[in-house]
Formats: sequence, structure tokens, C-alpha cells
Amino acid sequence: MDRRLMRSATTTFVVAFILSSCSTMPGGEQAAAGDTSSACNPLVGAGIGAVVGAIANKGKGAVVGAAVGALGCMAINAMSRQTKPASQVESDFRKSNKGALPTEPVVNAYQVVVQPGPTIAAGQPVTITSTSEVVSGTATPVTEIREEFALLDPSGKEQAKKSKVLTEKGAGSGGYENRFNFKLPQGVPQGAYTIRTTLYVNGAAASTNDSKVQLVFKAREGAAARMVAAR
Amino acid sequence: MEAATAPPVPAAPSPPAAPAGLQPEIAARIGAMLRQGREYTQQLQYDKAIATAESVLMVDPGNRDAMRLMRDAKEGQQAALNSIEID
Repeated sequence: MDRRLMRSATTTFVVAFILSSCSTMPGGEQAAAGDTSSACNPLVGAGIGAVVGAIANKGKGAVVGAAVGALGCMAINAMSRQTKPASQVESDFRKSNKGALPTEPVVNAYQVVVQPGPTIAAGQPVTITSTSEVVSGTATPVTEIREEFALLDPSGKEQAKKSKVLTEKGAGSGGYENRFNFKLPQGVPQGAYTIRTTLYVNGAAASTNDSKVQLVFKAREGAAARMVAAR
Repeated sequence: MEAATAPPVPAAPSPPAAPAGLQPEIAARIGAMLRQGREYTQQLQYDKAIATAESVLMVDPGNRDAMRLMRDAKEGQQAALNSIEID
């Protein structure tokens, strides 16, 4: 690699590092604390992109390659990340199970928090944050963890669905955090909506959580209605 | 020849007749409710539009404008539900 190419790659790596700093979660959370093997690291992604771009296009493609690599990781880390390494999750499981690990994968914890709370207004952003801990079995290791989000309208009919894979291949045990965002637009029926999240381990439903949010009538809508009625 | 007399038919209970003179007023009120219902659909307040249409249909079950208002409001609601996006 000549000096010019080296300089280009170095500059790109600095840019990539800055980009990677921006990709942390609000509040400064870092992706995959203590266990980078199973989480996407924007810095690594950017570095690989820089090197590949530099080799492929004699330095000119390094910046583009780095940016693509970093942004690719950001897209994953913006919504889901590993929060606990396998060693910690397995250690926690052993403490409450006489030092033994399960033979089959076990969902040791699964919690869902809905923000801003149980009542929402049309157009208001709603965030569903789930935290889970999955322990690999001694006979069957965890190969994939996927979370599915379904939104049921007040009549119980499913209106929207999305699924995300939380792990990379060969994930094993770990603690994960995942987020889904949505808004109920103006015009949807008022009432209680069900937020159903299901955790799939190795393709099989392992845990489900139902949360309710009440779509409430805004005072401004009431004022508009009264104005119409007064005409 | 004298025509055969039909057997007496028990009189069906007739709906309470609106006092004379109020029919146009009821029609006017229904018209105002339907106008209000259409305003609700324009404001995407489909729940209210549906409730208004139901009220009109209780008074005038065959009212086509109320049925149309009901259908339009339900279609609007479904379109809003179909537009939900999850990130």
C-alpha cells in the first residue's frame, strides 16, 4: 500500500470512528458491551468498508466504503443490540438453577415496556422496548433469536406486523434489547389496541407478551367538533 | 253477487305517529346530522361519523345518505389502519 493510499485509509478510519460514535443509543449506550463477537460494531464495519473500498478503487472508494459499512451497522444497532454477553447470562442462570445449564434453550427473562405509557394520542410516537435473556441448551444451542411485533385493533384484528432478527448466526446465549416504533394515524378507531410481541428462539415461539394502549380523544378534536356543530 | 268478505285481520301495532307538523323538522334535523357527519369524515373523525350515521339510521332505517356516510367512514378508518408503519 503506497503512502497516499495509507493516508486515505487512515483519514477514512478517523471519519468512520466519528460516525461510529454517533451510532450509539440515546443515553450513550454502547452496542454489545463486553461481547463484540455477536454484535455489529460500526467501527469494524466502517474499517472493513474503508479497506475494501481502498483496494477496489485505489483509495478513491475508501470513504464511500467506510460510510456504507458504518451506516449498515448503525441501521442494526439503532433498534436492537446485545446487552449482556453469553458468559454473564449463563452465570446468572446457573446461580438460580443449582449450577446447571438447561438442555434446551430457555428464555430466562422477557420484559416489554411501552412508552409514553398506557394512553396515547393519534400521531404520537410510541416506542416498544423489549429486553430478553436467552440461555443456550447443552443439547441444543441458540442459533437465532427473532422478535415479532403485531398490532391488534380494538376489535382484536391484526393490523400491522414486523419481525426482527436480534442475533447473528451462531449467537448462543445472551441478553438483548430491541425496539419497535410506530404511530397510530388520525382516523383510526378509538379504543384499546393490543401490542403483541413474541420472542422466537431457533424459529419456535418461546415467549409472548401482550400490552394494551388506549387511544384517547384529544381535547383539540373535541373543540373542532363543537365548532362544526355550532355552524 | 256479493263479494266474499275477507276474514278480519288483527290490526298490526302501528309505530307512534309523529305529531302533525313535525315531519319536516325531523327531516331537517336528519339533514343537519348528515352534514355534520360528512364534516366529521373530512376531519378524519370517523368514529363520530359512524355514530352520527347510526343515529340517523335508528330514526330513518332506509336512509341512503346515512348508509353512504357509514360506508365512507368505515373505509376511511380501514385506510388509516392500513397506513400504520412499524420501524
